[in-house]
Amino acid sequence: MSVQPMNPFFREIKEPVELTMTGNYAVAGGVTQTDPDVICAFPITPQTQSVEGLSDVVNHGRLKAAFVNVESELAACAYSTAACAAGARTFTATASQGLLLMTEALPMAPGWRVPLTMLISARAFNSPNLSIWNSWEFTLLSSFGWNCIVSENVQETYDASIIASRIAEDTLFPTQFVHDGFIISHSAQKFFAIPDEDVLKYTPKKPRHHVNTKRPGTWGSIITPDYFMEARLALELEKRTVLDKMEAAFREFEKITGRAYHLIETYNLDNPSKTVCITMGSMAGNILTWMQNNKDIGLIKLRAWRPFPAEQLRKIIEEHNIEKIFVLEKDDDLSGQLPPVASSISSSLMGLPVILRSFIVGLGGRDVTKDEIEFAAKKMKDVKDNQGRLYDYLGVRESKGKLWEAKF
Amino acid sequence: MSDDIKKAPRYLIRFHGRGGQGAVTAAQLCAMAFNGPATCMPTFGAERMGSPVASFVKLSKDFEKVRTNEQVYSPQYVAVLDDTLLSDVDCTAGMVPGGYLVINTCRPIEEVREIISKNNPPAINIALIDATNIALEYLGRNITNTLILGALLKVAPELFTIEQLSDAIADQFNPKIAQKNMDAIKVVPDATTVYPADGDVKISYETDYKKQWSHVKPDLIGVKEWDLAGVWYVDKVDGGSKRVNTGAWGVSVAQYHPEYCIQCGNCVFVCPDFCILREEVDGKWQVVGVDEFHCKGCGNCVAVCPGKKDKETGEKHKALTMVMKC
Repeated sequence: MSVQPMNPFFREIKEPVELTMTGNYAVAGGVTQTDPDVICAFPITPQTQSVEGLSDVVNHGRLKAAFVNVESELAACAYSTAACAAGARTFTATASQGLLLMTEALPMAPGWRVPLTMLISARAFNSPNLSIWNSWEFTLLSSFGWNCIVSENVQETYDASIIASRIAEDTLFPTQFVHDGFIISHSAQKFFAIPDEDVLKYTPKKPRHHVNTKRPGTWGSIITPDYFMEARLALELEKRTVLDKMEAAFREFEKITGRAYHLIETYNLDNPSKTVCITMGSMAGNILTWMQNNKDIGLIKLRAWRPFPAEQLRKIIEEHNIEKIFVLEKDDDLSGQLPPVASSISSSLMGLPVILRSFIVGLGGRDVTKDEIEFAAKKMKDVKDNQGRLYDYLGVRESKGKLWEAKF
Repeated sequence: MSDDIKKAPRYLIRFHGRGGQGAVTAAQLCAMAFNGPATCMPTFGAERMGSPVASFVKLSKDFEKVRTNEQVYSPQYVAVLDDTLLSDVDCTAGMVPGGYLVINTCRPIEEVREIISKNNPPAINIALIDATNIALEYLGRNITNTLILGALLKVAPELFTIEQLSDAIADQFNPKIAQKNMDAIKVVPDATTVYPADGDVKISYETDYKKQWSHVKPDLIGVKEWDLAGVWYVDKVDGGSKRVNTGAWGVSVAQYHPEYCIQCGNCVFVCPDFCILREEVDGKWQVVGVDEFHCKGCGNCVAVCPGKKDKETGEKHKALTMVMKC
């Protein structure tokens, strides 16, 4: 091969170094540095180059891990969960339809409390027709107890590939980290890689529960009505401690690298219009560049998506006396209610005197430009209450030569 | 942040190429060679060998200016790797007046000007380079992506130096190929001819020349015209393979010889592009020929064709053969 994308990770990284890589290969690099024991993924579309990159480093000999190709996405998820239950640090990756195909095995990993990590390249589902491009359909499948963090750019997704491993093992819940398909997965950007030594110090392999002949138990067997609810509440109680542990993992990461991350990141909240835009992922970058010349609105960027940082968000909105919120999201669920991201936000803010609207943008890889952001910010000026339908589509053609106008 | 950085310009570059020519790698090399925050991304389409693709680069010392993950709509620099694209794609769309259009071509400037004039470009400088011939001489194959960067160096020395570009190439390619590319790049600046724009146009690094909502492509059909079931009916959606001359991508094409055809239909099923033409004769579908407009010359049909013995010579002939296009 004439192009060698994984070159920088074939050798030990001793100093912080600036690299230029696509989101997928950067993740492969980050995962390499966390020294996983097992990498298991279905190698065919809609798989991303992250596993291709990992197969390169394993083949090169740089990473001593079992690289396992399986025959389906479902098998990938089941195999990874089992490998992780056996005690191996395990990574898998998928996207769009692949996540759907994994669905049957997804709830198992949180149930067993295994710290599996998974990259999701956020891409659309097949409806009405196949689109392999960016959408946030993963939001429809984020309710099984997986932790989930979302990244804005290549630096964040590289960092997330390392932080996810730490979060998974600290919380003993499987952890997904998401980047926008194509927009980040195929974008080459500059980012700073962390020295191997620091990564290993940050993600030490700690002893934990695993399948063990010295302590026999049933994994994935049957559980009767006498115990099922207790087992579920036990999961819920543990889940409630996750956000604190996530925040701690971010703090620890900042100490090593100087790069500060939070569950929720805020920009320009004390603005004259008392309006904020809430979004996550790559779109946050588009808005921040636009905000260079437009100081009229603020931005709240969700870094943690599951568990949803509801209390933290509520506190921010209250403290800054935010009056209007508009959500920009790349998902719709045709449910007749607010789309997934706005649904989570509105349920966290129940009872607060805020006006909320959601704009559905950028589905199936449509670009989100300053036109959308400008329109949404302007439109919010006229919105005075929470009456009627609270969401609409933006940046769509109504008919030839005519744009669909978002009506609330 | 210091004021100097806040004043730093934002350079936007767009590459046009065909799938396989390395437009994406060129964009990535730009990002690597630039000393400062840089991002690049490809267009999101069906990236098949030969189909028109584009890639975008954003460079600025000020990270906040290139933090956006939008595509580039208003570039100061556009590089075209294949001059046949000039008539297929609006390569000058959204270009900043005073910007540079760098084209790999052996056509004269008058012809190039005539082709691009139908898109009403602003006053731009044009640089022509016959990179294909240099590539064939130095690399042995028609891959011009690194060479076009050499031409870009000549018109935009503010982006990066030849040393920075060489370092990026050394990082990205294996050593043997990297060396060949670096040798080739050295001869490019002298082989590039620049034709300045009429009048003294000052290039702007701030103003955005994107037409509002252009990315939504208002000319295509909308929600109201969309059919029930979301099906792409060919009478409604302007697109599909009907108008795409994929036959132009291949170097060979299948030829049909009816005298040796036993009408087994094997070729119909293996053709990935439905290029085996059939007609209904007496209630039976018969193979009648090859759709040369779409045949990419994969040779699958030839491989499965059982052929037929010639009555006179007894020799076996296939009903489909591959012929080279000249």
